Amino acid sequence: MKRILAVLGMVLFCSLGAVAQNRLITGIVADAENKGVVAASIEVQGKPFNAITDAEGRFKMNVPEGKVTLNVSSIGFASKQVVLQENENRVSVVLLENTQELKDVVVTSFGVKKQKKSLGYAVGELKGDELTKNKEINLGNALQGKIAGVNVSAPVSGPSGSSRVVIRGATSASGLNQPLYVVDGIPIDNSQQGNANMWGGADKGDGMSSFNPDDIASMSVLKGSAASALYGYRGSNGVILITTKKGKAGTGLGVDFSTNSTFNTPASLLNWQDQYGTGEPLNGVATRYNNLQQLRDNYYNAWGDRYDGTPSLSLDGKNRPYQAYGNNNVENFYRTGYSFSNTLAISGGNETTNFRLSFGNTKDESILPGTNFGRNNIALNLNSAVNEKISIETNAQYITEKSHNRPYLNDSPRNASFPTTFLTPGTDIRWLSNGYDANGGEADYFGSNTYQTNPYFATQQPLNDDLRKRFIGSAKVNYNITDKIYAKGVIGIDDINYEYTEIEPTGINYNPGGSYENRVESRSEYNASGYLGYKGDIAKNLSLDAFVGANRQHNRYSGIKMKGNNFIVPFKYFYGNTQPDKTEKLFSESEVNSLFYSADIGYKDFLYVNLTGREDWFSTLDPSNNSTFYPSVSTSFIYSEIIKLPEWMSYGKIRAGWGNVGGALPDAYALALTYTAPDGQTDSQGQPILGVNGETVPNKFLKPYNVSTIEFGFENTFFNNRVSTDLTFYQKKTTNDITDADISQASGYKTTKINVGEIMNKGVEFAINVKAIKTPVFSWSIGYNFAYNHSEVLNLSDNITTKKLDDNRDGKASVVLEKGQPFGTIKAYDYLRDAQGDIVLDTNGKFLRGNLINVGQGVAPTAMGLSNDFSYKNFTLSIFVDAKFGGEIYSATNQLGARYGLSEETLAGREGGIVVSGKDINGNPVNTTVSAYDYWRSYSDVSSNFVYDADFVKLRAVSFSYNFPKAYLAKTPFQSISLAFSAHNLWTIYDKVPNIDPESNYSNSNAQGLERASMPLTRNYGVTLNVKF
Amino acid sequence: MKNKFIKIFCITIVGAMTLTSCDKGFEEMNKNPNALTDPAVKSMFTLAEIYVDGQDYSNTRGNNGYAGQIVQHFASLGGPGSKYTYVAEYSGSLFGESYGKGLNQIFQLMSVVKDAPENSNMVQALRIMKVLMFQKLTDTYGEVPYFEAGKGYNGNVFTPKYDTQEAIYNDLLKELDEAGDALDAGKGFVGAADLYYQSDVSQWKKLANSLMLRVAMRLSKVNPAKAQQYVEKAVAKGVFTSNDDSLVLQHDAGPAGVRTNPITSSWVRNDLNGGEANIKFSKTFIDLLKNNNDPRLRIYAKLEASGDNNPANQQGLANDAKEFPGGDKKLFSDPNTSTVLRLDAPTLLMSYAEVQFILAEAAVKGWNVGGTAQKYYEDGVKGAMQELTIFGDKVPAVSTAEYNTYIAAHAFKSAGTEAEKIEQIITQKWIVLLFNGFEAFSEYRRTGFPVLVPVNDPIGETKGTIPRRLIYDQSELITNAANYKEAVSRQGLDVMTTRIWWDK
Repeated sequence: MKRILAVLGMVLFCSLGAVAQNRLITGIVADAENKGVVAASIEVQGKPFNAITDAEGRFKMNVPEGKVTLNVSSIGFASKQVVLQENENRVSVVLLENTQELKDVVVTSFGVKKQKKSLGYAVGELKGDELTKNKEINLGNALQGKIAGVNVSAPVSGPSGSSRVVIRGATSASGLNQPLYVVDGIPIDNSQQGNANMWGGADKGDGMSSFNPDDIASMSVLKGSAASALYGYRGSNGVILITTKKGKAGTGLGVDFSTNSTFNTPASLLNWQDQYGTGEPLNGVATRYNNLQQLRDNYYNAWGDRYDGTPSLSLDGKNRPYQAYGNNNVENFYRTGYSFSNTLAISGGNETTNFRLSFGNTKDESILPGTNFGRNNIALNLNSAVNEKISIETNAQYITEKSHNRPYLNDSPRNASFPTTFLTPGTDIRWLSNGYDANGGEADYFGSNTYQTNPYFATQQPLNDDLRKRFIGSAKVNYNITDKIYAKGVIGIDDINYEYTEIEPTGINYNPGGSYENRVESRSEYNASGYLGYKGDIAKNLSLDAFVGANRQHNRYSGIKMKGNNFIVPFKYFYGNTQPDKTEKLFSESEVNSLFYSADIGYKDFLYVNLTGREDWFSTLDPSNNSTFYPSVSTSFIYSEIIKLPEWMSYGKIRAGWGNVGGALPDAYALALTYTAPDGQTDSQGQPILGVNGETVPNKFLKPYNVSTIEFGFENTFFNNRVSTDLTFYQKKTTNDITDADISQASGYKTTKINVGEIMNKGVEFAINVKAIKTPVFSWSIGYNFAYNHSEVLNLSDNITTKKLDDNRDGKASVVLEKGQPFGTIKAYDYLRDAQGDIVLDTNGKFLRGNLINVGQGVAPTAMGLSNDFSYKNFTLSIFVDAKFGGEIYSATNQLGARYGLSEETLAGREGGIVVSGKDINGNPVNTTVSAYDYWRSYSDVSSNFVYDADFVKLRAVSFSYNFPKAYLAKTPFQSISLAFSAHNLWTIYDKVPNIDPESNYSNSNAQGLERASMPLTRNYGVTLNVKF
Repeated sequence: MKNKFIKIFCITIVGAMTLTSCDKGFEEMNKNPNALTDPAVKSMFTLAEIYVDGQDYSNTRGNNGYAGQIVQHFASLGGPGSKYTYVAEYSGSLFGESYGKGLNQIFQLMSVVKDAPENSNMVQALRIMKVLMFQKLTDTYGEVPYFEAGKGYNGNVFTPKYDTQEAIYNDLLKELDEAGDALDAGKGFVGAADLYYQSDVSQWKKLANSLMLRVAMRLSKVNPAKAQQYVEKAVAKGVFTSNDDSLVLQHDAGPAGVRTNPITSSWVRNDLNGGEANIKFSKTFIDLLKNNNDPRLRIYAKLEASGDNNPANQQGLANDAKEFPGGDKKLFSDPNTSTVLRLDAPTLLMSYAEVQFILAEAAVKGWNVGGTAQKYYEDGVKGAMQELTIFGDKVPAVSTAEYNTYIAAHAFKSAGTEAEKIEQIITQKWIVLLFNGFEAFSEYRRTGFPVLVPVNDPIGETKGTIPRRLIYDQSELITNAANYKEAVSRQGLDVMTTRIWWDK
């Protein structure tokens, strides 16, 4: 293989000398009504010449001498082939409208464009305009509800946070289960920089926040193993291919300017009771706190007596009438955030070369005071057909991202949301707005709750900063050796420099000395690959589109982490001003080499078979065990070409695919035992000491886990292509999943990683598109997609049947993997019950905590999206609704709300108690009256009471736009102007969770379905202006 | 220009793909440049010696929390060893820590050095250290994984089988015998990296034989003939002959961690608290020393709050106490922080005195150990008193005159019954074994001495009887269930009252 490429390379260079003479042709592409078709693509068959039509449908391009065949295509139209004789230099093409799915060209593995009808697997697609209608800072989140089988759930951490995209269910207990992202053919980094867990933390973002939606032409989602098989060990969670916008040949210079302003308002759903104040029962009588220390230590306890307006102690030490002040604490503390983004793109080209250069800028001020995010993007795309045989394409992006005070979540000290959520209604949060004591440290409003930070102090102090500078570049050379054989070389790099600083400021109550941590790291991946391909007919009615290739992937990570404590000079936040604590060097380097092939064989125009194979060699595995083969086979049969279908049915296709891919490559250096000084102590009695490092046995036989998917699909169109449907069934099985297995300590170690886990996902995906009305002035189209995925953990390891993913901090609920249960099952405590299953009370009538039971799953198995697009003359209106069903969420906000007497439900029994009747553990009857305090607190111990159906239907996005008519612009420099208004998260049409949004999960790990003191979600209102010169 | 660029570009691509095979250089790349993958064996040996003493976890929880309180060296109000309650992390602490730290270090080092002839003496020393650790383990729990243990990395045995205690003891004796013989003064050792004996091979031989005494004597109840055979064999091969031979591990003054005294570090840091410690000397221990006018008491004990080490003012806490009599914790004795409870206080892993008491017992039994019980007893008591100089000179050492007074008052009961003699010997040994609760616990179970009054507290798990073992680490139920169940089915229920093989 390698030798062939070497020879090929030589041939390639020797032939570069001769550059053929070209001829210029001009033409126009129009529709049936003789209106010019904008952005239609014209390619010379078998040659690297192409052009795109301008706003009037006109194009100019160079073509080789002699007779040529032009392929003319445009989205929404049937492609057409036009033969141009050697003396013809003008051409006029009429394209007929068609249902776009049928003749669409889609981007598949390695950026190879294929006709959609030839594919034996499902590929989801999203066009660039879908991304810009409602801009998301994190590109991953833009996929929400748009493509069947793509489940998006972002932690509630604001616009600069990460996304969580899971395609057709999670495949692995050990991996992150997120897809591989590939931009213009180059795999890019999507590492999470940090995540909130049981003890808190911040969502420090991921790699998908780097991209400017205005630069994206399309996204293509390879869902199953057959589609992603050419990505081998990286294909297990699907692949998302992102194509950036390119310049257009022969269009002259064009300038596009887009500006967007969006306002984000906090949408609090908290609805606490406002009748009883801060306090607790004293000798059985609900009593307000009259002692400041006690009040502060228990500031969240709303078990006092009923508000009566008499003077009473407040958290800030003042006396005020005893009444509710804090119904709008959340709104009063948070602010209206805004996002502001601009993109200026210059594009153009002549007959052989085109380019697009864009500058993007995004600034976001979060609803959380003090928190902001900024991003600058520069993108350059440059393509050139050097001669008739050689064309090059280059892409470069330089991105800087800067974030200040990313919010701390869940149980973190410095989580401003915690006190904001749990202040009793008797406190107006603005009373705490002087967050400082006399020394400039944190004011003491919360007494012994030192780990709960004053929200004003927390948001005014520097807490964290990060800066990421990123270069993503690629270069491709295509060489057509003959009109059927081509060679291609691609190199690409994703190079990231990242600096993160975390500060515990001077005077913060839980650590008054403060601390400073700094991490500086660089992370890079480069890929170099070569291909040799054949595209053409090999016999009558038999076509072949095939290539062989090789890829080298090199990853390097290097960083330094330093930490210091106790600022020597208070309030001066830099490393040199600390007592240094620890410095760590972080490093790893690894490589994967691959050989691969792909062959598409087509018979006539109705039967296609695609075969692929890829062998990966890994540097991080033991040499005796370092390669794996990943095959796939798929087929497409267009039966409507050979069977006479009823008149109303226009098109019918059946597809089937099977593929085998991998995931979670073991880390570098995990094969060998290492040695280190124990506890950082290097000697005893003057003698150096050295010990075995770690409690995990390196497993030499560890491999990436394996996923194989089998899928069947049915594509149909009806009523002259007005209605199109796509139905897919799949079964995806993970084997050899990597499990962190606890082993007998008598082995010398506590854990090892072994390939034993098995997980099954089965599901169905359905999409339908209807062009309900289509007249020259008015059109209405409807798109609906639905997906259901059932997951089941088949095996974890030989000796464990349950593995904890994470716990919640309060009330004892966790997310686990359990044999026989769905991936990410939520466990919580039931009531104590007797043998008959009846609830058992204690002798005082209180509830008792019983067994841990399975109460649901954190990831909704059913998800759907419905879009309605209307256009009337120059107006368009898009309405997008999405929904999820079948998932659950454990809400610690509600659990604590009941415990603290904040929930509305705890009003029951405040006066006179609650009469209970039942039996005790010995079966003796219990008939008594329990105080509301005892009743609701014992109720709150039963954590399963706070697991809710997280079903929702949301009016996710509405956008309304107006295109200024061409006639108005004729005398202006503008080619087009459009103005759009959009709104996001406008209305929750249906949900069942009190006090919080059903999408309030705090983690982007596999432990989905846990919520606690979350930031409010936002409603977003934006306006966008697009101008073309 | 453009063509030239393309040529260079293509050469780069094709070159990159063709120059190497598909996994060339991978092995080299996967060597961690920021970690040691080849160990410095001498430094590993030094750490292994430290680990043999146990670390903070097993000493705080297993030794002080259970064994030292069961044998009534120490006492606390709610301590599991005082009231015979079950606290999983305390009971299992010796199990996980022994395998995870000391034994793993020993096994891994052995796997690295075993084939190199120049390391022969190191290998023998490691075998001896392994015996020291395994005997403590099996004495504490009964059956434990032995032959398949420590093979997680070298052999990928993740669920090692438990072995019968008899099989383990047979091998311990064999190992000591072979290792002692194979030690060769003519071969190199590790120089100053040997913290025990600074690479004096003859000392190591004496250690192997002295340890053989300890191992063999433990079989006196279950297999007296074998006990006698190996005790006599050990004596013939040569055991400790003076305090200079004792196995003493020196510690550093800080910072607290692997190199400081493992008992002291957490006791002083967390528990001592200016005399407010929860663990105090037991009334049993203090009263015995006080009643005997034992000159060691001033070295062992003081009232931390006042710094008073006057023996007359020392007071122990009764093991059955539910609260501090008088209500003031500070009036109860703590280990002396000037001597035995310093961060750099040495650990007496095996003493000359202990050897003398084993020999005295053997002589009482009429075995051929080349001396009289009385002589061994007196040498033992004298050695035990003089040995305390290892704890420094902050408190005056025991003088010869004081010894003479003591031995005159507590002369060997030559005319007594065998049981009386053994009680006298083992009671002295019990004092020497202060801070080595595990060994004292084993000897109590073997001999029944010293006579202890059991605590009968309703929260206890033993119905008022002194425990006969500790409960296995509970992780074994999950990670090694089949082998655990097999061991329990052979040995008896996994409870504190089950007697292990040599205790039947």
